[in-house]
Formats: sequence, C-alpha cells, structure tokens
Amino acid sequence: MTTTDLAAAARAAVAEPALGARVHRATAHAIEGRLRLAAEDPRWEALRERARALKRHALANLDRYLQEFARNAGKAGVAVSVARDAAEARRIVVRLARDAGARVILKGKSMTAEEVGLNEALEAAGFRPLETDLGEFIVQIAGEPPSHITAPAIHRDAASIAGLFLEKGVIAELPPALRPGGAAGRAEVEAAARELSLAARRFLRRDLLGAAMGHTMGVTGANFLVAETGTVVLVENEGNIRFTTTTPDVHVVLAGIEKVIPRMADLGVFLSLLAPSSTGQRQSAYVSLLGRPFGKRRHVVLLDNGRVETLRLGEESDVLSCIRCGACLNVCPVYRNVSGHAYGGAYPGPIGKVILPHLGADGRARHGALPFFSTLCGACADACPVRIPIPERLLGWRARLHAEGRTGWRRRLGMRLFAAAARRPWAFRVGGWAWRRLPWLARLAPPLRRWLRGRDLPS
Amino acid sequence: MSHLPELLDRIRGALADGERLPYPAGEPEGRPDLAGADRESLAARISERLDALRGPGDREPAVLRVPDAAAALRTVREALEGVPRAEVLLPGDAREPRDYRAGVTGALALVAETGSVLLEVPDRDSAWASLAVETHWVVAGEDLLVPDLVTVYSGLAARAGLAARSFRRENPTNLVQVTGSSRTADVEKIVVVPAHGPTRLRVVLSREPVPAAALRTLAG
Repeated sequence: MTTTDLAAAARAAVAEPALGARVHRATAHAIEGRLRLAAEDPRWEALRERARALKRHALANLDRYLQEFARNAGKAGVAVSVARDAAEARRIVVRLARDAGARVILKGKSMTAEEVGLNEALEAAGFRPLETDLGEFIVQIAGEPPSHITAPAIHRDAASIAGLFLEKGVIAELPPALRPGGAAGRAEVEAAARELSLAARRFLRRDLLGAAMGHTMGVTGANFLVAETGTVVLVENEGNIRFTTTTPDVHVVLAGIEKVIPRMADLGVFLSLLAPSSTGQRQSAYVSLLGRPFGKRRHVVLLDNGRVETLRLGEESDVLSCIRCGACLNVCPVYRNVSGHAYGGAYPGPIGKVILPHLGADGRARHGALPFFSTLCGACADACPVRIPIPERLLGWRARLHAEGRTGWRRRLGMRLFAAAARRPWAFRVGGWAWRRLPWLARLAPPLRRWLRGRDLPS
Repeated sequence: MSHLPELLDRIRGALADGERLPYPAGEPEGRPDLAGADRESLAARISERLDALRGPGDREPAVLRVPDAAAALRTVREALEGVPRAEVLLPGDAREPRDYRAGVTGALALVAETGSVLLEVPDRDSAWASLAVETHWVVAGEDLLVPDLVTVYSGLAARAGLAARSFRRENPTNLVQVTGSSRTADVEKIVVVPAHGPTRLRVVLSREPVPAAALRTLAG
C-alpha cells in the first residue's frame, strides 16, 4: 500500500458511521481490565522486564532453542519442518492436508495463517477451511480479513453479524431485538449476542465433535513453543482450539520461528502477562500444553518469511518479541479510529507497522508506508507487556526506508528543507513564521491542502 | 522443502555479529501478597476467583469445600444423582466424542490467584471430560493449591512424581490449564457462556489429599 492508498483507506474507515465509536467502546473494556489487573499485581513491571529479557535472550540464541525444540518435539512424536516463506508454508500445509485425506480443515485462530494466506490456498486446493473461533468465523463468512489480533470482528456490531448469519444460514431468523422496530436497549443487545454466539456453537458442533472424523485436519498457530520440552502452547477462551487440536487425526501447527521460549518455567511469566494485556482477563479459559499428538500425527511448521533477516538488526529485532496480545492496538489513537482493515496486512495497529515491512520478499514495498502512519504518541510502548519500544522502532523504520530511497520525493524534499532550516537559525525563524501561516499558504498550494487535511497544527 | 539445518545456518549467519545474551539472572517472582499464604487463604482466593468466572445466572458456589476424599466423592455422587452413567465421563472412560452432561477429572495443581486448574490430558479419550460436557467437575485436595502461575510453572518443572512426568523431556504428555467456563466475547465484547466448551466448572476441594484412583470408584 502506498501512502496515498493508506490515507484513502484511513479516510474511508473514519467516514464509516459508528466504526470509531464501536472500536473505542470495545477497546476501552480491554484497556480498563489491563490497567486494573496491572495495578493489582505488585510484580507487573518486574514481569514485563523479565518477559522482555527472556524474549531477547531467546532471539539472541534462536538457533540453539529451535534446535532444542525440534529435538524434544521429535522425541514426543511430533514432526517439525521449515517454511522459508509464505508460499512454502502454504505448500506444506496443503500437502499435509492431501496426505491426511482431509476434506474439512478445522482452523484455530492463527495470525500466522493469515500472514501466509492459508485459507485461500486451502480453498484453491479443494479443501474447506472452517474457522472455529467465533470472531474468525464471522469474518470468514463475511469474506473479510480479521480487523484485530485478538478480536477479529471488533469492527462489526450485533446487527451486522445477525444479518450475516441470516444470509449464510447460521440462523433461520433474526433475534427479536435486531428485527426492524425491535427494542434495542443494552439488555436486548446482550440477549441477541448470546443468541448469535450459541447459534455459531450449534453450527460448528458437528465438525468440532468429529462427525467427519478421518476427513478432517486441524490447523492452529502457537502462542509459545517451549524448547526444553518440545511443547506447543495455545491460549484461548472458547474451547474451539482444544477441539481443533484433539478431534482430528492430524494437527498442524504453523508458527513463526520467534515463538520459541527457553524453559517451561518461563511460561508462568508470559501467561501472567498475556491474558491481562489481551482481553483484560486474569487468565484465558484454556491454555493447552501439547506434547504427544492426540491423533495420529502432529506436525509443526516453523515459518521464517523474513524473520531471519530481521535478526540482523540486533536490538531492533525485538519487534519479534511480540506475544500478539493486541494491547498496542487497543490504546492506539490511530487504530481506534480506523480499525484494522485500513492497514492492509495481517497484523494491524502499531505492532503491524513495525513487523509487516519485515515480512516476505516484498514487505518493504507493500507495507513501507505504514511506519509513517503514526502519531508517535508512545501509548503502545506503555501498554506492551514485553516492552517493545514501538515508537523507536517506527523511527528506525523511517530512517531505514529513507536511507534506502523508498520514501517519496515530497517527503524527501520536506526532510531536506527541514534539515537545511534546522542548520541555519535565520532560516529556522523564517520557516517557523511560514509554518504558523501554513493554513493560509495551503489555500494557494493544493499539495499542502491535502497534507493538512489529516493534521492539526500545534497552536 | 527447506530443512532445519539450513534454517539454523541462516540464523547463525544473521546472529554472527550480535551479542549472545545470557539467560536472565534470578528467578521470576511469585505474587508477594500470596507468598507464604496458608491453605485457607489460597482456598478462599480460588473460590473468589472461580465464583467471579461463573456464567450469567449461575449462582451456585464454584468451589465446594469438603473435609476429605470420601466427602468429595459423596459430593460428586449427590450432584450427579439422576444423571445416567452414559452421560457422565469419568477418568479412564473411553467414549466417542459427543456432548455429555458431566465430566469428572482430578488435577495436577490449583492456582489460587487466577482460579486455574491444571489437568493432565494424556490422550484424546481423556480430553472430553473437561471439554465436551455441560459441567466439568474437578476433585482435588488442598495440597495441590499454589499461589500463582509463576509458581506453578517453575514449581512443577522441578517437582517429582506425576507433575514431573508431565514436564519431562522424554515423551512429555499433554496438559490443559482451565480457568472458568468456556466463553466468548466476539459479539460487541458481550461475554457469553458457554462458547464451545463447558458451561460450568465446579471444584470439589478436599482438605485431605484425594488419590487419583479414588475417582474411578465413582463408576461403581
């Protein structure tokens, strides 16, 4: 996406009625929960510091821990393979599905699967990928990508979900409160939300319980891979991931190489931070720690897709420490107004801006505009449970993209003018005078008018 | 297909100029407000936490405290009175996956601060009792109470017996940490119980330890 595309997508999102209000309401709930739980826990900052140190250690010794993970997973009967890029990941999973004789692919929510475009590849190969997380199920039947890392359907209200469910045959009729002229107080909307959630449970039940046993394969991501024991760790609330990993004979885990942590003892630190940061809960309903396969086979596919190159950046590779909690999205003033689709990639929000340009051979070309799509307010860094200094990483990206000549001529000219003025006090004073009159000057210059459309100048 | 040795070589190349940071010194901290807490305090905390996680309309206590294993088994029997045996999953049952009324399991640890129950799920058959049921009953002794997650994961990794078997490098088994009922909030952040798993989690907490084999006697 170019800067122009990004700005157009953002403008369209801002113009969408009630979208910003909906996302603000939903994220406010998570923010309040995180702040309350953090204030209650006297170790909160110490846990964040330790989590950061553990992740940085794991990344600095990634070869050792991946080798250890693969060795121990192998002892438990789990096969491990490597996908160098998204295309290879898709090929491996499609091949595993063919080998399994699968028709239906049960999917647990996985951002890594989104990253590689797995559903599209499975469909193209004749399989039926079935998202089993409610939020993912909603966006799948809507034909949309998820708009939040942990709350994929955050951009939709109950009425739009009900309309979708009716259209796709998940429900036979609209819940009373959502019919034309129906009472739409909070209590009625809550009743409708319950009705819709339970309808999705009924709709997915036959597949989750394995009525098509022998013809299904489960695909999930991983929250953590424990090197010490070869354990795959998955965190969820619904129980759909437990079904997805238990019912099918073959379970495939698609995980970025950065998901490995050294020891089981480290898990307590990460789990103490993940759910509070993600949804404002003390703990998610289920944490599965998977060793031996439940069915015939478990296969872990370790995805590179640009991550190894990111390691070359030294300290800046700490963007790979992300535990995908979504806390930075919840607090971001840009994300809260435009929601996730405007970002044009699998990982929206602040963390997406610093990760997406690293991913794939065309990451810089496709997502190079994202690091400029920020106010640099720093709310994301304050919220991040593993203390990734996202604003610093955004600045790092801006410098890198500028040095590589990937910024447009207007931005380069602007920076050159600023650099020239900053070196000469008289020019800086003149520039300051002109800057204060920018709204007036903009009337004469259309490019300036466009630039000012999305900005308020300091008074 | 790419292979692990090739990946590891590329990672070594990428890290060649970087510092190999050591494993962070010290131990992660447990909750100071629960450090050294007696069983009574831990039992009170887990009860409070699990009560808070009940679904809308569920008013029954989530944790039932009893003096010993016999009383724990009696409590479960009474609760399941009138429920056909075919609708109840007990440890060791090998049944097809479908919806059942109740499942009974033991536990490896009970985490007071979060209201979590750590279970061993060695195989597919044993998974349904905590997943494909309306009510998941956990029968456990207060000796399994630990203050928080940091303690349970660092402690279990070092402990002997059943727990250590779950964490050993050779053929590690599967564990599940369960915290309350299955739930979702994907429609306007409104919490709905159940999602795909149980509607209720009930813990029968015995002051005396409950031997794992005792649960099988429920079948008689």
